[in-house]
Formats: sequence, structure tokens, C-alpha cells
Amino acid sequence: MTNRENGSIHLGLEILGHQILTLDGRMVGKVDDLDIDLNAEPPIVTAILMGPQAWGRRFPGLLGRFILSAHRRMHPDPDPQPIQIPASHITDLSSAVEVAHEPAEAERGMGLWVREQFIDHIPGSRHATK
Amino acid sequence: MVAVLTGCAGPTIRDEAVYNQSEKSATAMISELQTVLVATDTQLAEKSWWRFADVVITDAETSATSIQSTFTSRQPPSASSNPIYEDTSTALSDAADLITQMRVALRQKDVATMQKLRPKIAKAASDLEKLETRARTQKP
Amino acid sequence: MKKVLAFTLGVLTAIGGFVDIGDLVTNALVGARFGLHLAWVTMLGVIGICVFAEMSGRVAAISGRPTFDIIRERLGPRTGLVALVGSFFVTALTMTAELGGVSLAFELATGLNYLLFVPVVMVLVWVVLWRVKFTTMENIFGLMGLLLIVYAVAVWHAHPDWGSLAHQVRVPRPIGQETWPTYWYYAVALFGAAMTPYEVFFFSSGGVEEHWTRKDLIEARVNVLIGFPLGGILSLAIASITALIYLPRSIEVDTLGQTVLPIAVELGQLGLIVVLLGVFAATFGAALETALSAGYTIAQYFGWQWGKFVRPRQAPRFHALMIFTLIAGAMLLLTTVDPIKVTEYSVVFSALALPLTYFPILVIANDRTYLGDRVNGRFANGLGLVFLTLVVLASVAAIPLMIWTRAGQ
Repeated sequence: MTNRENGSIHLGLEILGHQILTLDGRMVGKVDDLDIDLNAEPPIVTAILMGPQAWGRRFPGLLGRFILSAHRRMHPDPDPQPIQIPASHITDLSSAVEVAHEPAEAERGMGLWVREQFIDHIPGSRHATK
Repeated sequence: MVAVLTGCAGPTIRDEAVYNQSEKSATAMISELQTVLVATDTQLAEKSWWRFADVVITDAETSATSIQSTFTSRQPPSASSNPIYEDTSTALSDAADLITQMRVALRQKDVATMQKLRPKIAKAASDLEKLETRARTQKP
Repeated sequence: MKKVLAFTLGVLTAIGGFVDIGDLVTNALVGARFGLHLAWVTMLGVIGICVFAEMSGRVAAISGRPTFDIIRERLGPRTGLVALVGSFFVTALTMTAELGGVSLAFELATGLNYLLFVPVVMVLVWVVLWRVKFTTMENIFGLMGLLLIVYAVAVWHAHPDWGSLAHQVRVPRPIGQETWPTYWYYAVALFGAAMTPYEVFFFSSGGVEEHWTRKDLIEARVNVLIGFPLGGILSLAIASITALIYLPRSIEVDTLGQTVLPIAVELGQLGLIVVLLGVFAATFGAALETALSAGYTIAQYFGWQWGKFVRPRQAPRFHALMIFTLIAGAMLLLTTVDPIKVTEYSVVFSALALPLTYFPILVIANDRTYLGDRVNGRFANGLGLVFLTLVVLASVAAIPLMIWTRAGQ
């Protein structure tokens, strides 16, 4: 249960794994991990992390390592990092996390690749359904 | 000692399997024969169309062939289950044959032959019913 | 007046969309072997799906989020992944069965081999998913699916001994040479056929596709609580007609032809045309819904943009997923595996995977974060727990029974 009156939020239940939306309702991804500055007093969340480099780390053993290395191989960067959304970009926290700008790297990920290599070649991909 | 043992060999577990398989194959074949009867009657009464009846009866024919070949591929283990094996093989083969004949007649829209085959198919079904009962009750 | 029309359309679409190839084949098969002695399972399954569809519809209307979206955040990524893999596999298998059903319907109508139709059907399904608006799609195939009422008409036309049919319903036991293990195996299959997991994903994602809000809650409930039971009556009609025509002749159902033949027997060529159109609509509609559900589950787990409410290029992974799932399903069918066998396995695996879907929904429907004051009351929770127990029982029993009875032989 949320305890907003006290200003505290249960990270595990209310942020991790939740959907990230832009201001106009577009889906960006999920909150796969969090960057927390433990040196601050009290510790503060500095960024939301998403993408395969973020959630791959949370899977145990062989499965996690496989996910991370497969993604690394397919990514244009030799050493890809988790996609970061700074905490200052968060505009609202309800059941989804709303952010002001979609991170640029999110566009460079698999979604863009699929769109360019595949979907864009099919006629009608720019049209809304009738 | 060994000669006495083999001479006194009664029905084995695998004999029971032959009776089981006879019963199962008979049940399955009856279902195909009856389906053919219903489909034929429906077509002869002009309650369906030829292509539809063709599909239904060809499907029945495919199943019937499969039932027959599955049964005959397993040889009986001993002399005691030979009779039921032979009788079932013959009955299944006759039934599959009749279904093929009906399929051929239907494709040629040969109503006369279809009507002649009807009672034969009905009889094959009732013969198989008797075989089914026999396989069930005479199981060792 | 406009409201009444909207409500009627919703109910009619729910009835017509209720039956899919799994319901069709399983009910026809069971009717021919057990008469109506398993009718109680169908009735129970209908109540069950009403309970869970209402919950997931409520979640969609109040929170604006479809259920699978929430499963991951509420249960964690690992449990969510288990739910995803199980649900996706079962949904993809069901989709394959539906594609097979459409192809078989075309075969019965034209006499051409069903395999020729498999690629055609796959492309047709994709074209509709690509170009046709969600609501239009639902309305057309839902209404056309109503043609399956012809099964009820056939039952009435056959002038059955209603007392004898009612007696069968009241006496839940195997008949003739059938054994108790086979009886329970088909109970699990019928249960899985009625409570298919994809219905729930589809219903809640569909709610978001159609932009439901609190105001649409009543309409959603009416659709579910009136539409689904009436759809269930269609299932019982299918079992009844094979009970009346096949049971006395010891005919066992293992083809789609045998499933529609009784309509020709009772209602002639016109009936046959109507039932084939109805079967086409029901299976094609279900193929659309299962393909969409396959896309919804994976996209919602990863947070990718999904939905037909955006342009395809704005949801590239969602559409790519559906395309690849359709291709995989078509390829499976082209190995000439019997589509009816695929259907029979899909309903049993549905029963197996049910807890993965229903447990999360029950949890989420009690969470005020998503539902505010519209969380489950005691009645809904009571029913939910009863059905969760049944669902777990069916799931646990599914594989042992399948092995013991060698898939119902």
C-alpha cells in the first residue's frame, strides 16, 4: 500500500516492473532496475534503468548471462549499458511511471531495428486501421 | 522339463493385448462404418452436397485404413490368440474395403451402387459388434 | 435507444464469440461418448470464465491497464516469466488449432484439401489484423458466429426426449464401456475448453484497445454475464446434437466433418451452409483473438508498445510477434499433423496452464493500487477462491489423466 502522505513509496511494489509511459501515453518499456545513490542521506533514486542490459542482470545464472551476451552481440555499441532515464524526468507516479521524454537509446534498441528491417517494408504500416 | 513347460504354455499377457486391440479396433471401425452410413443417407436424401459427403467419407476411409493396418501390423504371440486375430483382421479388411467402394461410388455419383452398398456396410458394422463383444468377454 | 443497441451488440458479440474450435470439437466429442453426463462441467466452466472475465474487465476499465501488463509488476519478473511462457505456449497452440479449424471448414465447403488453405488462412488472418479496426473486427465475427445457433435449432428440430436429456445432465457418471478415468479426462478437457486462458488476456487488452473507462464497466459486465452463459448454451447444444445422433450409433467424433454432419441430417443443405459459415466465423474470430493475445502477452511483459489502437509502425515488435507466431502455427499445420488432435491437446494444455493466469488475476483484483474502491468484495473473492481451487485441481490432474487414459482412448 502506498504511503504518499509520509512521502515514502515502496520501491519493490510500486516502481520496479511497472510500465513506463510518455506524457502522451506511449509505452516506452518497463522499470527493469533502479540506480540508487546510497551515499546520499537518505539514499535517493537517481535514475530508472531499462532494457535487456538492466533486466538481464536480474535473472540468475546461465539464463541471465545468455540474455546479456546475446543482447551485447546484437547491439551496435560494443559495450551497451542499460538505458537510463534520470529521475528528474519522472512527471507522475500512479500505477504506471510517467516520464517527460522518451530516452534516445530506447529508440535505438530492438524496436527500431524491427521497425526498420521488417515492419516498414510491409505496405500500410503507417496507416491507422480502418 | 523345458518341453513340458512350453507344452503347457497357457495364454500370456500379450495374448490379452491381442484381445484388447481387437476390441478397440472393432469399436473404431464401427464408428467409421456408421459415419459412412449417416453421410451416405444424408447425401442420398439430398440434405448435403457431393463435395461435402466426399470429404466426410474420404476421411472415414483414411481412418479405416489406418485402423486396419495398425491392427494387422502386430502379430499374435501365441496360438491361443490366433483365432481372434484372424477373425478381426478379416473383418477389418472387409470393412475398410466396403468404405473404399462407397467412396469410389460416391465420387462417381453412382447412386445405384451406393444404395447397394448400404446394407453391406450395415451388416459389416453389426458383425464387428459381435466381434467386439466376443473380444471383450473371451479375454483371458 | 442508442445505449440499448450498444448493449445488444455487445451481448450478441459475446455469444457469437464464445465458441471456438476447442469448444466445438470437445463438446461434439463428449456428447457422442458421454451424452450430457458431463454437461455440469461445461456449466461450471462458463461460470468460471464469467467470474474471471468480469475481474479482468474491471481491472482494464478502472486502471486502464490490461491484466498481463500488471502480472509482471505485481508478481515479479521471474514469476511473470513463468506465467508468460506457459500462457504464450498455450495461446499459440490454440491459435494453431483455430487456423486448422478454418482450413478444415474451407475443405468441407469446397472439397479441396485443407492443407492448401492453411497458408491462405494465415495470410487472411494477418491482413485483418493489419488493416481492420478492432471494434469492426469484433463485431463482424462475433455477429457471424451467432449462426452457430443452428445447433440449438437442430436439437429442437430433432424432437428429443427432453426428460431423458435432463436425466443425463443430472447423473454425472460414465456410460456404456467408458471408464471413470476417461470421464475425468474429458471433464478436464471440457473445463479447459470453456475457460481458455486467452479469453481473459483478450478481454482485458480489448478493453484497453476500446478505451474503456469506469462508465463502460456496466456494459462490460452485461456482455460477460449474459453473453457468456448464452454462449455456453450453444456448447451444450453441440453436445446434445451429437448425443442424439451419434451416441445411439456408436459414432466417435474425430473430424470436423463429423462435427457438422448432424446439422445436415436435421436441417439439410441450408443448415449445412449456415453451420459452415458459423464455424468459419467462430474459428476465424478465435484465430484473430489468439494471435492478438500472443502479441499482447509478450509485449505487455516487456513493456513494448502494443495494440491495434496505434499505427503498426508504432508497435513494430507487437506486430512482428504476431506475424511470427502465425507463421509458426501455419508451419506446424503443414507438417500434416491432424488439426483435430492439435485441438484436443490445446484444450488439455489450457487446463494445465489455467492457474498461471487465474491466480494473478485474483491477486490483482484485490489490489487497491489498480482498482481503488472497486476491489473484489467478499462474494467475488469467495467465487474466485472456489474457482481457483477447481482450476488448480484440473491443472494437477491434467497430465496424469492424459497419460493414464492415453489421451482419452
